[in-house]
Amino acid sequence: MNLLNGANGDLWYLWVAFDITFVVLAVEIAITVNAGRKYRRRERLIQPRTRTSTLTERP
Amino acid sequence: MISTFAQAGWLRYASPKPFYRLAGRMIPGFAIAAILFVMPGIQIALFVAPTDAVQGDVYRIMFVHVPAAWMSMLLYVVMAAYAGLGLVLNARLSAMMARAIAPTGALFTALALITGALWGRPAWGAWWVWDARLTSELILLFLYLGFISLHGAIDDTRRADRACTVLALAGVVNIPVIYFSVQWWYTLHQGASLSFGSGVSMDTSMLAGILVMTLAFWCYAIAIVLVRVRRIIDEREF
Repeated sequence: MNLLNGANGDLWYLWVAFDITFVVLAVEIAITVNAGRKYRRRERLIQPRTRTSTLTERP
Repeated sequence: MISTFAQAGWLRYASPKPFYRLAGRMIPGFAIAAILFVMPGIQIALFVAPTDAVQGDVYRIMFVHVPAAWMSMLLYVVMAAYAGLGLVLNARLSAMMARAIAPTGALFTALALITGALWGRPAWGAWWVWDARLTSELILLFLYLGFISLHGAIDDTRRADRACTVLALAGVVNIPVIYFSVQWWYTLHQGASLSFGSGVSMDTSMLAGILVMTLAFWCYAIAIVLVRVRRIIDEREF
């Protein structure tokens, strides 16, 4: 088991890289999930569902 | 091929409405899988993989940098394939999938560039060099941003889909350039971490860490793209 105590080089870069990666992914989750919820909430209030589903675009 | 899929009933999932329900059922599974993979991935990356003899512990950035770079290229190919399918088959869901993949692909590309800079500074003494690998990866980020901006700039979604398809397909040429840049040109960037020709030249635990983190990012990307495509289906279909 490695101790990661900084004895083997500067760990600042390592921690920043890991922190940025997981913070950015967490922010993406928050934005995407929240955008979907907001949209569905807004649409439920103002629009009836009318269009039926087809496989291809209409000409 | 198509008739085999049709017999199995899978073709109906090419239609947005049935796919909307299927995506809703798939999201929790992929989200849980991402969490289950990322925990051992971090454990291996930080505590199990041995310290590098030359770079010390800072090389561990590789465990987020390499999977992010792989995902950036893979997602672009998948995005372009969906966009192309949408153009050829005139299928609505394909264009929606391409649009849903673009932001996650851009994010992984940005992460690959940022973590690469954070690794480059202690390893090379420079945050950035105009080396073939780095420059082609930066072009990939611009292609993703171009795709997203172009779609946002055209009001008619079907026209936007077609314009973005052309951009996505033209940009595919950049993927082999990124992958083979370290072989085609003399670059500061190290060679491929995993090469089909020459095999693996790293410790087994390092390889395991990279593969587990890649699986985690893969499951994450699928889950988040499915969440986003459901919102796009909401916007365009209902």
